[in-house]
Amino acid sequence: MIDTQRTRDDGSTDRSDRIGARNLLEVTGLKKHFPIHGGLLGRLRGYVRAVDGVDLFIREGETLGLVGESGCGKSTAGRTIIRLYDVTDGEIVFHDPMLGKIHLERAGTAELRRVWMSMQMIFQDPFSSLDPRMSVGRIVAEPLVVNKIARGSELRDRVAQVLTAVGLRPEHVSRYPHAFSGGQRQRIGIARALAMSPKLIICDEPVSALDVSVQAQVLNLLEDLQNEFDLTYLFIAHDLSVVDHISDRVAVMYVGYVVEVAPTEELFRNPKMPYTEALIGAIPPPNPRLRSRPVKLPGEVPSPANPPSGCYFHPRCQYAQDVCKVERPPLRQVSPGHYAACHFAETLSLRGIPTLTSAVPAVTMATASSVTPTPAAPAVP
Amino acid sequence: MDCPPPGARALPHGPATWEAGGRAIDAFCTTVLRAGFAATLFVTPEAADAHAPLLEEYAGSGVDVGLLLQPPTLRGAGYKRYLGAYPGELQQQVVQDAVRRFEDALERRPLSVRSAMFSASDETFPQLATARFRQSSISSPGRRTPKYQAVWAGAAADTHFASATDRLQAGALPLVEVPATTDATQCRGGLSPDLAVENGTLDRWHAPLIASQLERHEREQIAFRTLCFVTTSRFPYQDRSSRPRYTLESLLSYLVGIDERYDVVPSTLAEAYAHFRSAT
Repeated sequence: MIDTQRTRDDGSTDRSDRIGARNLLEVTGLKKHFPIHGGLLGRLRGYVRAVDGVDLFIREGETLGLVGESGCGKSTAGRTIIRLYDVTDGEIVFHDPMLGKIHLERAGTAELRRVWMSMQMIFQDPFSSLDPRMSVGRIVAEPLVVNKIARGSELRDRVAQVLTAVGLRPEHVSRYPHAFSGGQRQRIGIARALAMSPKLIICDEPVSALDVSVQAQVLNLLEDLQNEFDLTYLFIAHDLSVVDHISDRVAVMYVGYVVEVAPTEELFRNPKMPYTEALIGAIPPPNPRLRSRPVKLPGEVPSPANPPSGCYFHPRCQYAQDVCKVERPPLRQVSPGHYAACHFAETLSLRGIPTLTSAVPAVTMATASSVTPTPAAPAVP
Repeated sequence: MDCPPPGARALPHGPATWEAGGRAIDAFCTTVLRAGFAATLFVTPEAADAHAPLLEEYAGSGVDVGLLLQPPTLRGAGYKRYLGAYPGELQQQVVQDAVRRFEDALERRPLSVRSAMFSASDETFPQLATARFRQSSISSPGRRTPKYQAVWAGAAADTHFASATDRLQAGALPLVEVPATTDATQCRGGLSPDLAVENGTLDRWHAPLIASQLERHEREQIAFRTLCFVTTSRFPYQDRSSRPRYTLESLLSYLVGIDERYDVVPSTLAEAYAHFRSAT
């Protein structure tokens, strides 16, 4: 059993309580390659290997953070898992509470529709993901209507219920997205996902388009909803401090595949893959007076259309050996619950960081500073 | 920030769409609050209704949501001119009508008020005091735009209780007026340089004006010193690469920088009222 128990900011250690022993989702060797066409005749020139062999699993009630640089394929992986994209290769097994074990990679439209009742997605940009011509009520009700789950007063009650659950007033159902702030719009997106009473929600960078001061509200809301509705999250993000705040375990992606998975604290304290070391070494320390020595990576992130041989990270890895150039290491368990795709995971001594909690912008809300009455002072209305 | 509705022919011009206006308000408030400062929004009743959830959220975060009196945008009322152009009784009607609509939209009475285009007559402040407003920011010292009934040459430049008889002078009404910060010694085309965020750049426009006003405060030994910035929701504060956004962030950093010398107290208009009352 993975030890996911972590000390929270308030001192409580309640995370492990809600995580079940059963896997809700298992992804094996998932690939999504996009064809590249070129020339006058539009001939096939090759493939962008956006997702190139992702392996992961998520337990019931757990939050798995999927982190990596922009363009590493994490959003594509999320969209492929929920089957917004067709699968090139690999397996996606979802243990639906009602339908049982479902192989999503080969599910047809009708089956996918049924599975999507238990699997929903929250999108990155709350400004573009909501139809400006639809009222909030219609936006939230749409999945219920399309799937013929509710209508009439039952539909209205359900919409009011989920709007209340995300902290919005049910009286606002007839309003349009322009009436709401960015944080409120993301709550509408969450309410829409929640309307179907899903088991798994894929959160595709749900706070990255929001101001730092608003991110905390949304992250705290997601945590509250998880506890209230027994939700499981695949939380995709590029901000490690956000992932650290919300995740029980973290999977690190590099150029289309997962290179390391471990319980959050273990990953940050004790990375086993040089790319993870570089990634967490680049986080600025919470106290600017503290000196840090970021691990500098030479070279560029390789193109997913033309990845290097062997381990994709080897051209930038300071520990690379000959074997790394020819053989891509599989993701394997190097210690209980800790998986790494590195030939030398057991022998390398990599630098981690004790905790990110104090650096997390999400837990400290920026509010207007308190005002001390001072007679001879400029005011700024 | 003045928040008029989109598409209106009245001034100040509103945003292109409700969407653009909502996002500008959202981004402006977020930016200002995150920097530790305070924001006051003056919204027309129609804008209050259109953005009610957003305004309620920011009101809960300490933003002062006041009323923007822009008679031509009071839908169906038929007003064509700006507030100061109307006689006292009609001003009273406009104010009552706008307050009622604002209350319908946000379920609370506004206590802060601004008149669009700084339009006011000698009868305006008494009407606002009668309507139980506590604080206003209507004067723009040095401005001479009679077309909009906004003539503020010789107006008191610092925070004061409004007068029942003379809009330019301090008086004894229970209404605190915080003038927009201007350099009243200059006037070009009827306008004195003011601290509109969207005007010019920090180095060339705002910083010299702020410095000159702080010098004046010291020279004239002003007891209660204010810097009052203005802008409207027409500008794309949500666009991080836009000039107004850049200027706003530069301004906020600048104000943090002068804090050591001047002990800046970020205040909404409502907070300025409280400070002024306790200081006088």
